[in-house]
Amino acid sequence: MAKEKSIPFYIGIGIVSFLLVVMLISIFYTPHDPNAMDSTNRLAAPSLEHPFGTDNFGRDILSRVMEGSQTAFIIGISAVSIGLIIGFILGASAGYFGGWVDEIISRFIDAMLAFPGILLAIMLIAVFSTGMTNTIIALGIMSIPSFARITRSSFMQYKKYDFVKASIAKGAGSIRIIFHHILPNAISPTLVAVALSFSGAILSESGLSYLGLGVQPPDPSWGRMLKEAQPYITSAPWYVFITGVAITLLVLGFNLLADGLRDKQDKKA
Amino acid sequence: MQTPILSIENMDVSFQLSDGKYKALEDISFSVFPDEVVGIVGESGCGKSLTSQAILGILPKNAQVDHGEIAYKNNNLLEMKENDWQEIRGSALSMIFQEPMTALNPLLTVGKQISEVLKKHTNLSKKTRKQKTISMMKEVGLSRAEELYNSYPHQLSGGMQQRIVIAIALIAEPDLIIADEPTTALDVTIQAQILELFRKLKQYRKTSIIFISHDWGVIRHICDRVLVMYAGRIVEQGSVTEIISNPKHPYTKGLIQSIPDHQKKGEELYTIAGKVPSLKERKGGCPFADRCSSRLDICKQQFPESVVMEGTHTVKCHLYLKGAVETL
Amino acid sequence: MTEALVELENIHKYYKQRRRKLTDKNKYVKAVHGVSFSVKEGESFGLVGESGSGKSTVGQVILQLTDLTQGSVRYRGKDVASFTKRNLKDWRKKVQIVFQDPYASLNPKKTVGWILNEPLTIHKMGDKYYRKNKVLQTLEDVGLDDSYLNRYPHELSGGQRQRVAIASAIILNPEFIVIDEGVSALDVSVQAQILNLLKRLQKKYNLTYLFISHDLNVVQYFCDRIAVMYLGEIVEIGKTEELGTSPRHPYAEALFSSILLHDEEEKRIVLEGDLPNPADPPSGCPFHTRCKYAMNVCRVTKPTTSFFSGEHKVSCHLYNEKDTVRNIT
Repeated sequence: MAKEKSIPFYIGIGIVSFLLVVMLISIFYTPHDPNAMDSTNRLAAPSLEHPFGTDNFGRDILSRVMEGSQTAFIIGISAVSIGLIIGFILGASAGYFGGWVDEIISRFIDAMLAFPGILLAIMLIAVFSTGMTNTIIALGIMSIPSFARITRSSFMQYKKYDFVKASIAKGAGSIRIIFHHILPNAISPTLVAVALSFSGAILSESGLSYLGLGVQPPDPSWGRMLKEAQPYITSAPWYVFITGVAITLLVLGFNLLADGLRDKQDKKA
Repeated sequence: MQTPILSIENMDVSFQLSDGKYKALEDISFSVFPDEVVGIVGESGCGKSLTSQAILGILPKNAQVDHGEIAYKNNNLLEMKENDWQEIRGSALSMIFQEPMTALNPLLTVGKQISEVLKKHTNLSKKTRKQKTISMMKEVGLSRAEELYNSYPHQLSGGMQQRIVIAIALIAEPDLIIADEPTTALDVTIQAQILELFRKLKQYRKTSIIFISHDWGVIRHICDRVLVMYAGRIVEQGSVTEIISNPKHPYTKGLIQSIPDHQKKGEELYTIAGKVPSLKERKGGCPFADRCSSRLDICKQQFPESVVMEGTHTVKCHLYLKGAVETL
Repeated sequence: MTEALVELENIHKYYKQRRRKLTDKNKYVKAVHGVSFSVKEGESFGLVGESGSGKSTVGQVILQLTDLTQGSVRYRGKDVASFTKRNLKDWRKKVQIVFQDPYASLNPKKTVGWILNEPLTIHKMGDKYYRKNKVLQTLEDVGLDDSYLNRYPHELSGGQRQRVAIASAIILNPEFIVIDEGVSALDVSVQAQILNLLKRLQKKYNLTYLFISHDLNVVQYFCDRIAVMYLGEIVEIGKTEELGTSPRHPYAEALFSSILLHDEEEKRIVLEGDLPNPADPPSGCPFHTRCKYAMNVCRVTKPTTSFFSGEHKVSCHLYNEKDTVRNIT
């Protein structure tokens, strides 16, 4: 077969790695202190000194966007990890054992899905109060159902395969079946879900922060920056623009990545 | 001499793959006469289905006919425009596929799917179309045709679905039907029913059929003449009885001898070493040379000319060319 | 002296059908319905039938890949259900299965070497050196060489894949192998290679085969005895020579007539209708809906098994002393 060339996949990789590099740089270096205020230089237009201008407190927007990328990645990675680990365990047990185990877990997942994701997150935050950690927990819980369902279906699918039956016939136990036979085959659909959930988590975090329910000051967050920029949309449009672009890029990058992964997988199958 | 319904002359088909162009069919020539069933046999990857797709102009996007002529009643099909094609497909030439479930539209009733063909190719009224459809359904062995008219494909068994597919292929009274492994997906007793149906069609309708199969039992049952294909070439052709009782090409011989049956019980089965070469593995000369037990020196260099054995029985093998050593 | 290696007694396997509504009654598909037979050591026993006849389920029941609804499986006289976990694992070394679709029966993410090593690892057989040798020797047994060790299943042809599947089945030195349509997906010339290989291995390692297939030519060539299944029941069982040449049950008769030669065309029997739904099988004899000899008794009572010569058994009212209407020739 011809070697597949998935252009969106490479664009996705490109965007994501670019932002990753930006995030890594920002840990050690930003052009200005992202929290240094300068009341004489509020809402300055882009210049050599401040390539993306300054905000309503005179802080350098470029530095804040760079710093914000850290928050975005931390929240994305942690929330996805929580969702992935719990969702995977739930989905794998439901899919592998079937019967009443599946029945109980599936109903639980259905119940979670009955709430719109963002509403669930808001509810959790309302109970546990705002802040970075709680935002991560809320977003992590929000992404459990999708991981659980994907894992469950691939476990159910591969459990029926002849190579699994042949291995059972050779005396293999559950642990061997799960880790050697099902897991390696279930990884690629899960990777797609990871990429999608990542962008979903970032988008939701921005939404929550925009509502003031997410990351609290002084931690910089793109969503909150967007909210802060809103009153100045006419006087300092670059503020809204650059924050919006940052969010869009990251979400787009992960979505393209997910699409590309899915295409590759479909071609193999 | 009768004029053939369909004749193919020196047709080459190639695939455009990312790393180059590969010949999939080479020098295919054969004719189908009125009221004749021609079988095409060979293993998977030999080009049986590709041949039928070329005839119907439904080759995959990356494949094309490089060379040759496909004549349907003196019209060269290769020069035909898409509109004329659609006129011919379904009315003059029609196709029956292996998997009835995928050949039928799951969202339309079977009656509608059959009468659809009439709507496209005739000016009959709605009522006559329905009448014709129902009588066609009865002809293909669906006795409860009136009841089944409004059912959906998934409500029918595999055998009944295949009967519907056959009814769709027959309703416009085509001159030639191409059936690509039409019984392979069916159970033994259902396969027997469908073969019986084909025999009746041949008897009463006088439709010509190209019957593609890998199963010699089925071929023997239904065909008058048979073409044996190997790696994109027709290596032997002739009447079914002649080919089965007196195969000449080493590949045909090997194929027939390797079929197990109770008479060979206890014996080691004859086998052909190796496997069919893939598109990219094909080399010059006779494609079978690598697997052939009676290979001559010339076989790897040159593809043999066709040799007439007896009547319509021809074979492409150096063993039968003048000057070749008589090793058999 | 040959004795029974595997004995099935009155096997039933019902699958619960998913209920559409909460108020629906539980419905069962009777995949296997009262099947008994025994496979003798060293023989090839053929199980034929169409899709939905339950033949594959029988194979999986023997290997304990699915649980039984009723009945018992005995291996060398011992009830397999009574095995402890330890015994069961040991027993699994002796019974193996080869599936139809060589694409689905090998893990696509593992190399041939890994696949062949797995059974040895599971049973902690020998040291690294022993395992390596064993894998190479088994590869040789199935006609492959060490160049295959690092290849993945998708790099192999159908025949090669099936050889790997066979290798992984024989690597533990089993006594009994279920071959579930093991050659059906292959081209004729490759099929002949695999059949020869199976025969060769049988001789070399004194293997016993349960050969499940819908291809009557293959079964007649390969097997010593044959059982014909219809809708989860065995309708006829006997030596290949007897059953193949003169089947008694009307279903077996029709089945075997489909592979008759050209010159016997007029003897061909074409059955009418389709296989009934296994979830709702006919009353009495399951075949009466398609049988041209069907009598009143067939619609009501299930026929008992009658014997012909020796081991040839048939379940059909035609051969019951009381209501025989047809000459047996």
